[in-house]
Amino acid sequence: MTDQAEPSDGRTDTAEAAEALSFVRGVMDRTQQRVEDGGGVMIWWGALTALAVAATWGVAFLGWPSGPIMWGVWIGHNVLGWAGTLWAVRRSGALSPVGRQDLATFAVFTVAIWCFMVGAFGSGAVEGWALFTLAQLLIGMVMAFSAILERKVSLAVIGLVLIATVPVLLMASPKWAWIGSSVLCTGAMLVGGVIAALIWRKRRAAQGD
Amino acid sequence: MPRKATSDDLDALLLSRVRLGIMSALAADDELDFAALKEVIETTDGNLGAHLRRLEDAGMIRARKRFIGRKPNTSYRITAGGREAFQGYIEDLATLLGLKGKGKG
Repeated sequence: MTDQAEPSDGRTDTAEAAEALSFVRGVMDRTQQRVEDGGGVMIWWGALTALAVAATWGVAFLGWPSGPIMWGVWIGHNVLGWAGTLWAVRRSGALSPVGRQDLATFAVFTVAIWCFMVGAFGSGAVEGWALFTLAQLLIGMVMAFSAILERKVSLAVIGLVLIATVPVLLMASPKWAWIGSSVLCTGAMLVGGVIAALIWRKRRAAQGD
Repeated sequence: MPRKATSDDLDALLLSRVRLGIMSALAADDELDFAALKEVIETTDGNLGAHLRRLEDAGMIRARKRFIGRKPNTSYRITAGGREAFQGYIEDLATLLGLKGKGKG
């Protein structure tokens, strides 16, 4: 693009105003076509995590055979989560560098959670009641640090709340740690996704789309 | 040191299509990096860089430099003053076209 539209006398007549407005609209539309997941991906991951947590509860409290089921649950969690994420990305268009960074952070985070859950269950190194509390610490740290880097205040607050409640739950009874952490883990993703979706919708509405 | 843009500054600044495009893109998205702006505005690195510096000097946008992986990345955001001025400019255009009832000043 060149600056050929710049008039030499500095005046903007009606035709130029119409052209300028049309140009502004075109640029804003092209910008909006760039990736915005709108929180949908996080809601999707939150729902999947809720299902995986429910299955983990089933294993713990109903006496199902833990090994194969836990592998299946958390592998399925990752496979379905990433299938949905990649579908959403393909539908939205090309990722911006910042979007790619967000997605890479999220990939590291979900794989870390998966390794932790499967490793902890497989080896028995972590007592069952503390599993979700430690997973909560991981989720909180990744969410807070990435949100601070991206200047997303509401998500940073959610991440910090997750981190801050870890010692409280670990010092409470095992039952509270188990229940509280699994609710907080899934809630954080769902609430984070809803917040992102609302921000996105508000921005779109402000632009008259 | 960036300074606050005045209405006259803005008229002069936004007569350039590249600068108007930059402001439009940053009004549509919270933060865009250099590569994203180049893709949206469809201009050369040198041209885009020069116009970004001019808008930054006028206090309309601000830059953030960081590393993504090992690569340096500069992203830009519109300032509160820049957004207000841009909206005023768009309203002026709409008024000129009879799309709005009142003008500025």
